[in-house]
Amino acid sequence: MRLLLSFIFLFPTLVFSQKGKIIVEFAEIWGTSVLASVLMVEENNSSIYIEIGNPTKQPSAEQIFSNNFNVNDIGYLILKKNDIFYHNGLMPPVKNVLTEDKAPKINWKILKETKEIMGYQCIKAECEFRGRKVFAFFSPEIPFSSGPWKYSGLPGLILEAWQEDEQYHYVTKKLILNSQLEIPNAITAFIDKLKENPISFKEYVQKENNFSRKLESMTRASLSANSYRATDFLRESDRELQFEWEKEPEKRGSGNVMSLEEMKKKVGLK
Amino acid sequence: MKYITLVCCLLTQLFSAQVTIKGLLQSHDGQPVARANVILMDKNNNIDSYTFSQSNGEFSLVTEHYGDFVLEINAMGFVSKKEKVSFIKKGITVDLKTIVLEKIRTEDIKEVVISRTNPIKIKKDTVEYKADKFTNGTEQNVEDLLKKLPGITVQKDGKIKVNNKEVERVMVEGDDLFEKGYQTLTQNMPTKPVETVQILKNYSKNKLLKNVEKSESVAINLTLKEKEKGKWFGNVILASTSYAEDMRQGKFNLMNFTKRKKVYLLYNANNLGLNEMDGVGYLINPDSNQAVENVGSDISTLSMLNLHRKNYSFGDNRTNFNNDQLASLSYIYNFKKDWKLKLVSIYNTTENRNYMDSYYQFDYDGTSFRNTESKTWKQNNKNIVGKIELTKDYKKSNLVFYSKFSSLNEDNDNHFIFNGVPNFQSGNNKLSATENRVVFTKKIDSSAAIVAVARYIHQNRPYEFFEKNNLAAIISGDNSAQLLHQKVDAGLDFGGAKFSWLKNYSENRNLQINAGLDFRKHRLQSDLSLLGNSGQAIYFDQSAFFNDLEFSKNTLFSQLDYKVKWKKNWNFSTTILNEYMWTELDSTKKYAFAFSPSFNLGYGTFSFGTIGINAGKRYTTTTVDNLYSGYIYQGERSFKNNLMGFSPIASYNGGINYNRGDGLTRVFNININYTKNEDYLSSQSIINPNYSFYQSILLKNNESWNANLELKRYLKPLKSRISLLGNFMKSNYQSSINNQPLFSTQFTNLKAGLEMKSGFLGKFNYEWGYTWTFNFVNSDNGKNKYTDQNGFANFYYNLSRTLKSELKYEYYKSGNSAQIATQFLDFKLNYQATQWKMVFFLAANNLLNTKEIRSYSITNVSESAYTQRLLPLHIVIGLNKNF
Repeated sequence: MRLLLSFIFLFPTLVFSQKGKIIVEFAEIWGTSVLASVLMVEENNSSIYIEIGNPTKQPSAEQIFSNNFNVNDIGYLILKKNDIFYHNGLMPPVKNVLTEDKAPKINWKILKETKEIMGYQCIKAECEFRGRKVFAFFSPEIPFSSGPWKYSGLPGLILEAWQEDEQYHYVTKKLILNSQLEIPNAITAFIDKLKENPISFKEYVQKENNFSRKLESMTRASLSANSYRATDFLRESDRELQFEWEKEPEKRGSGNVMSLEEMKKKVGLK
Repeated sequence: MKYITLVCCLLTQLFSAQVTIKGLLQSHDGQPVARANVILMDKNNNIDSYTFSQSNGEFSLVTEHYGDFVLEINAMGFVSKKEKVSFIKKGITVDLKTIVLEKIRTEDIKEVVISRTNPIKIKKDTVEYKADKFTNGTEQNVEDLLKKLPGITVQKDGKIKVNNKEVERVMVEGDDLFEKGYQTLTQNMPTKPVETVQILKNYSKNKLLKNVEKSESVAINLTLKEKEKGKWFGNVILASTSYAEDMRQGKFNLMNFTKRKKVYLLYNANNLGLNEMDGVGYLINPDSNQAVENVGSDISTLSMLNLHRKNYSFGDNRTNFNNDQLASLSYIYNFKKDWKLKLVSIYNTTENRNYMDSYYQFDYDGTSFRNTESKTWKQNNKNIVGKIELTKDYKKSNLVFYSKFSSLNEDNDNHFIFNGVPNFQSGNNKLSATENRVVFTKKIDSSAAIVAVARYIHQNRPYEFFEKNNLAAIISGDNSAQLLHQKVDAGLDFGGAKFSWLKNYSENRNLQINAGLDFRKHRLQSDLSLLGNSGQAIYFDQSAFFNDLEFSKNTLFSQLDYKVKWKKNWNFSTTILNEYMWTELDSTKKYAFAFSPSFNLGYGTFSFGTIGINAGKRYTTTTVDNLYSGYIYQGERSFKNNLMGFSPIASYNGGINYNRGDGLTRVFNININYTKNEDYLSSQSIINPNYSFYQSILLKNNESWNANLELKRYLKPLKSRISLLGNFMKSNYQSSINNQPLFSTQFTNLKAGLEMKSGFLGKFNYEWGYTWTFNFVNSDNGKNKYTDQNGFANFYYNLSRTLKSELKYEYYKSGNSAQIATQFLDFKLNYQATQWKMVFFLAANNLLNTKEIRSYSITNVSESAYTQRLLPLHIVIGLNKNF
């Protein structure tokens, strides 16, 4: 109940002010596919980040922030307000929930390397974020402390970011300065719907992990006899591998290990 | 106490290396500026530190350096401001007081759109994984690492599949050392030097054909850590049973890779029943794929006779009485000037033994007899293979030349007891083969290329063997004849050239046109002689046992391949092959024209599933195996000859397949295929108690049906997958025995199976399956039916992260119910001693000590039963050490 109240209290303040927005359209390279994603940052550094879940759909920023946009195409939706993230999930059990993630402040290390992106001089920085090494190019000339996913906290907008293992790589395709685009009613209504199902971040992670476990079980069972697959970490293809409260990344098997006896009983063996 | 605090304070002041810079940001109208980026830049324009202003406009940042700096302030809606700051002392606070920022005039704020197309080259066909992210130190080799990557499975034989598609090659730093025999690499290379694993989809071996040919192939490339390049690494495997069983394995791999040079040395020896030739077998046989870079897709190693009978009833680990060793060296060198050299050489010796006791009863048309036999086969092989490949890359073309030499030497030493009388058979044959191929590829533009290939193959294989038995006396009618002496000499020369044009009109439309010419000449000589006890020649009429033939076949061909996709869901592909053949068999000339069209139409959506229909006509021809007319003794008391000349054989086939499901929780697969042959090869045979004669004949019209069904479902409560498997096969043919008119036989075979596999994430997993095969044999001569059954159950239990065990049980029951079932139980324990980079293993094979197979089979004219020896219970202890 307290959680619910805090949400009702918080969300009205997420409405954006009228002027000086910046919008970044990213191409998010994920394995061999490319996902469209868009970031809108307000003057007060509040932001909304939308990632389209289906690689065959590539709407532009203008299309996403229009009333013709189909909210069913939304994969992730991440709102940022006062350095706290509010978002839904991609997997079915967390698709229609809103969680409050007080992600730890990212401790960026600024590197010497520079690069020009879209006419802006950008500086390279690196950090550890939830078990992943992340690199970014940000531009101090664009004084928004924001970026794709939950990557933020640099003195300038992030125009390129990637995980060290290159599982995810965000590249800017389009930059709209002083944009007049507004969040359309469809997206506002979508957010309102998400607000109806608030869950704590730990619960959110747990739900995601449980679903991944189910998926892993199905994958293992679907293999032919005599072939098997072994994976260590449950969230190894996720952007967030390990959380603040965990000593090490969640393992595949450590969730609910049954004893041999239990297992035998379950499958009807003597 | 007070003093201590004071001293501490002073010390902090004195030794503090930090300088604090603070200030207050305001707009002209005195409003605080919040969330501004405040960046301290040193004189080289590098960021020293940064902070953000608070809601009251205050900021404070800390630096550990001193000197001249620039403080850059960027705030939304304000003009960027730079302030010079200098300080030479450490441990002070610089207060910049109030800094006023100038607002950007509202009329200056206009929407600006900056965009770029193609911001980054997306490697659409490459997925890359950092090896470190997937390794935890327990991986013994690259195979263990690959097993952990999403979508990758490794089969029992070491073949790798990516999303159910078999991987064609595994490369190191872009160079392919082992081609199709990549298990040698993946099962022996340690993971430590590996930096990334790249999965290459739609892979073209020839990089000029990338995006020109429609390739569905998958390849894997391993990139190495910079510091591991040029280092020697590898592994040693040593394993042994107890002194009594006297079985051992020793394996040594040594490799060194740099961008320019790759070296791989391997030595492997075992008499544990392990077949380690799998990884190199591909090198001996000539390439027979349909690839654009190949010509002569129907060429294989000459083989006229086989005196050895290997036991194929079960896997090698049960049946392979062996003593093998193998040494190989692979080397790749990339020259500076676009030249690449690749050398592969292999030397190996193998020994295989097989032991069988049998009982055979024949009953047809008044002839009735029974034979009891005991046979021991032993074969020793000595193979040498060498291959050199040179590649030269030009700007938009490349040239590949390779030359291969192989020498196989096979010795047979067999001992038979026929109805109580001991006999022996001893033989030898040698294959020497050379193959040369040159391929030229030229890329015309980004979507088109031409490929020209020429290939020459020469093979020669003489056979000679002696057999002591009563046949010599029966054939010659001379009781002093004791030995049969069969000589066969076979040779082949092949030369072919092909020219191809490839065009990729769009992602959905692809065309390939091939035209070429090939020539081949087969030579076959054989004669049988009979010898007396002291080696003297026995006279008999040899005319029926003699061959000396030359067969040449030349083909002019053109082929068109076209593939198209439309509306996302439809695809169509067609192949049209025209062949004009002119042949000569001992001065008899024959000409033939063959037109072979085929097509494939497919439709698929996620909700409907995918459906495919295919139909085609194709031609094969009789080969030299079907053309000799004198009898050649094949061993096993049988003689074979042929009663036909050169002839094209037409066959038609049609099929339909449908599959549906997500592949994970439910799968439904069905396919039905039908084949009709205008002509087919059959035999008429004369069967006697002591010997048989087989004559190949060409008959008209036979047909066969084949259908497969697979249903898979993931059961949530059991966390297991259950599968139902079905297979139906029906075929008919005619044959003749003992000069009787042709009679028809119809085989029907129905298989039903059940399989379950767990997907537990804990320490334990299981899988089991059971299959029934119902066989029906209907002939003019009578009816027969019998059922084969087999099952397996495997259990996996991880005692800890480094100690893993598996228990495997197999059950086989063949023939009718009076037969004895064969059962196997195996146990394996694997301990990974990470700190020593070592794996210790214990394998208890055949724990039930099943010593033989007992099998029973029935045909329309005979019944037979046999027992065949198996590798008995043995316990192997071994270690695998990486270095």
